[in-house]
Amino acid sequence: MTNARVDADRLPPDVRLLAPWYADQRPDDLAAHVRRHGPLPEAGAEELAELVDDAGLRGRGGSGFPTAVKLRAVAARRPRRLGSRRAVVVANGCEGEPASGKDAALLHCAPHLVLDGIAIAATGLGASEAILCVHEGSPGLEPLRRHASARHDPVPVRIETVPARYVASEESALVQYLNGGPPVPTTAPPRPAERGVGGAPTLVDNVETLAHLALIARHGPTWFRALGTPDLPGTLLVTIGGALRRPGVVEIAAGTPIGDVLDLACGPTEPVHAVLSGGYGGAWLGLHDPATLRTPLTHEALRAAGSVLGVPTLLALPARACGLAQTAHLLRYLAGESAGQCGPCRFGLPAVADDVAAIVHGTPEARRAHGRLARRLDLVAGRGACAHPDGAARLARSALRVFAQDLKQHLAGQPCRAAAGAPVFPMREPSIPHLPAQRARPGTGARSR
Amino acid sequence: MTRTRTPSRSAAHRRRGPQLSVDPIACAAHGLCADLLPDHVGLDEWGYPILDHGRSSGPIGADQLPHARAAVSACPTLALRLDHPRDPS
Repeated sequence: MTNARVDADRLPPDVRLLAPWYADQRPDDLAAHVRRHGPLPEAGAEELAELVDDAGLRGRGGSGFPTAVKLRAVAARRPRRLGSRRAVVVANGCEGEPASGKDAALLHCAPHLVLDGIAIAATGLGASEAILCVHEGSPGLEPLRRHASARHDPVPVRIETVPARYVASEESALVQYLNGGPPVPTTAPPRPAERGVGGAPTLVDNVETLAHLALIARHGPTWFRALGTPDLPGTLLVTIGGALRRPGVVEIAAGTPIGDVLDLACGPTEPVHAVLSGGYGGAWLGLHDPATLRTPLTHEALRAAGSVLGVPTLLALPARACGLAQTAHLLRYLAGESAGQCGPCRFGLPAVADDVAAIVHGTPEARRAHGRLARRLDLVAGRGACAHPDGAARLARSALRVFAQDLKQHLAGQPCRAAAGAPVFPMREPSIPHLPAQRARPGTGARSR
Repeated sequence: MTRTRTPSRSAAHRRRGPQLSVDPIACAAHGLCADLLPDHVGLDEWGYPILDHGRSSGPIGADQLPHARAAVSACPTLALRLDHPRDPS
């Protein structure tokens, strides 16, 4: 380990957001940040929306919604007469997905890039308030407060902590919590852009989205589009975990094949037979299908492969673990994380988790449970105020498809040694932020010199 | 349990009409809507309404409209709504 600074031009070309980490293995304070990226640019709302539109920036919070559309929706509701409410900017750094560590890693490594993005959006929209939300008890909280207080933004950023629950960081849940209510989703409409924090038009963006915005405002859309795909330009922060040698957060060009991303973790620690993409509400991809490792990380390609990009996470499932048993653990977790507001989610998720558990145990009940499961999955998907039940249904459906061979054996009552296996993926918020994995790319990273 | 009704793709159905929807947070599974509007509302195994098209039902025909209005006003939690499309074509 050396403290010598690595020249920016020696960094891998697809490292943008995490540059401080790869170059110096330490976070940028304000002075280092300004040295690296230059001063904060300014842009009006429409100019900003145009830049972001040309760049094709899509939200990095999971849905991939075009950021320009959100910006324009809020800008359209800016006050035109005296006494109406000015916009509010909310940066979502809560990262409800337990498998993901990318937002924590970004806030740790490049806090000022996120704060820049907030400042640019807040100034452009003429916002009265800017709020950065992170989970309660987040170990990155104190450094973040120090970084925020070192700045002199026209709209000072307030840092708020939100209870560490799966659905608390959903957009409408966040707005309701900031308005003094419980951190659970609400019925849309109204959407936050119409009536959000304090009733004001509110821009809620993921922290990674805002960090990209800060770079687009500096370098322009053409620079941004130099990496990624036409549909999903730019880089992605991806959390890779499970049975891998060097799990952590990596930055890759969008559209990089799954196999290449997993290679950044220096390969598996043991034989792996499936990958879970998109977090616990995502979907399994079987490695028996050679197309899996070639699947590019984009929303469209993963959807076509029967999975989802969501909040980009790739978790490698060791071959010794039973995919169905692990799915039962994940479904139990998701059922416990339901806000309990919508009946089909509140009652359906535990029922679905029970059915999968019954299949895993291969009890005489297994066949009946399997019959019930297909019907119940239809009953939970699409019937909640938020997409939480849809994610659980997607996970369960993918398990039945990808682990079809295991399913047959379980239904036939054949013993499965891994049926009683403990969960292999984390079930709680990690206590410290995942630090970005070191690059393992020959000739590019700081470590290869 | 009651199955959801599969709406036909006839011209009459494509005609825009008032749409039924349920607020899943407000709904507390009283089930009156299924009694009053059985042609458009079924109940799942936990007693929550299943509308024609999942989250929102298809257009409510003129003959069903009185029943739909009765169901909406009978809902104890005001979860059932009848919305009129903004741009009738």
